[in-house]
Amino acid sequence: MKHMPLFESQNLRLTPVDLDKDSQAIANWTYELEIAARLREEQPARPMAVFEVKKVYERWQKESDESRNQFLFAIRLRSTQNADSDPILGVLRINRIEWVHGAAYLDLVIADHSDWQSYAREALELALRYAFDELNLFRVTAVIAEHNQDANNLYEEANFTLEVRQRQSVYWNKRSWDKLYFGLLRPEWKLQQMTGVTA
Amino acid sequence: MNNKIFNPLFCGKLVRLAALDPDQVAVPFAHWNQDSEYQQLSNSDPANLYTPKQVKEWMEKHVDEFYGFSIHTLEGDYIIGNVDLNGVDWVTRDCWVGIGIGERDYWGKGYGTEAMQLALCFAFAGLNLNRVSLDVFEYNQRAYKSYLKAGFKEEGRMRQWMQRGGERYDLIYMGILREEWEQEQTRIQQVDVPAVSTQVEEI
Repeated sequence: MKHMPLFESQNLRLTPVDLDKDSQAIANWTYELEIAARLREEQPARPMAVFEVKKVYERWQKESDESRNQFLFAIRLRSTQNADSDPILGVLRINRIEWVHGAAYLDLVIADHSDWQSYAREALELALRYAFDELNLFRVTAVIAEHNQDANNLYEEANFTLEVRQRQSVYWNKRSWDKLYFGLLRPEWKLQQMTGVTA
Repeated sequence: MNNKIFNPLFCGKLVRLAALDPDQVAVPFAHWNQDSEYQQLSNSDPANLYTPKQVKEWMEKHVDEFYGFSIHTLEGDYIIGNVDLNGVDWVTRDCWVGIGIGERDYWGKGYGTEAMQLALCFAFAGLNLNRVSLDVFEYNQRAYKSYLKAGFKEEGRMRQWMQRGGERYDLIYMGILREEWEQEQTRIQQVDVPAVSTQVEEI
């Protein structure tokens, strides 16, 4: 079996989310309400304090240990020899895994806009390799807001298909927007790997 | 038994919605689960069986997390299914709806469609929501058609989302907006005035 590293790419590294080290950064990101919405799933989004971020992640990590229906990673820049001191750029969450059907959701957060421009595609490749090669999923879904042009571009460029448009399901910046569901199937991803087709 | 429902919001021509009562529904719910086709039509989880006691305990624990109703026939007051609104988002004023008619004798006769219309009425007229969402399996055409009839529009399909018997099927997403529901209410009132007024007199 040819081994492809799952947790390292040219510029990035996936590591566990280390709450002692990372909670402050994640809490800072929640002032962007779209990021806060990812953490406060059942309630309206608002900025979160460090202890609240810890509580959410502790709950997710517990769920992950007990039911194996989600996987959480920190996305770090490989800038030092020591993985522990690499700065955190974002978080990756593969969750709501339905093992019976081989379906799951993928949520990629990279907080800083210029980091997103530089590294989102590379982080997505790591996420997809993990989802398809390691978890053996059949399909992944990324749910994003219509107004998030960066994310729209990313998933389109990565050959995801816009599958569902839930009308008026997002409220942001004074108005309603649609919620978009982008899907990628295992055979589509495989074909890309074989032909090296990347947009 | 006092079955009088004074609020027309919860009462149609075929069925009424009753507040979910674990004591009342645990036995029929457990009984419907024995019908594996029903489970495969209504749930993506592996079909599983529970005793009425387990059903009751689950429900008592979670009943506050959703707006749940049992569906009763007006004739005979039989419990034939359930419908619930869940996952309400009070910012976008969106929620999910789930419905099931466990009693096969009442499939394909408009009972589910009417129960859904009552649930929508509660969502829009009672809870001030702006939209209601649902998903339905590609192979459940009966439900899909019922939802179209109740006013839902298809909003897309998650391709090959589920696997049954070695085959893959789409997960269809549907939604109805408040403005669409309001237009439908106006249309019904215009073409169906006698029926509506009769119904009000009965109540």
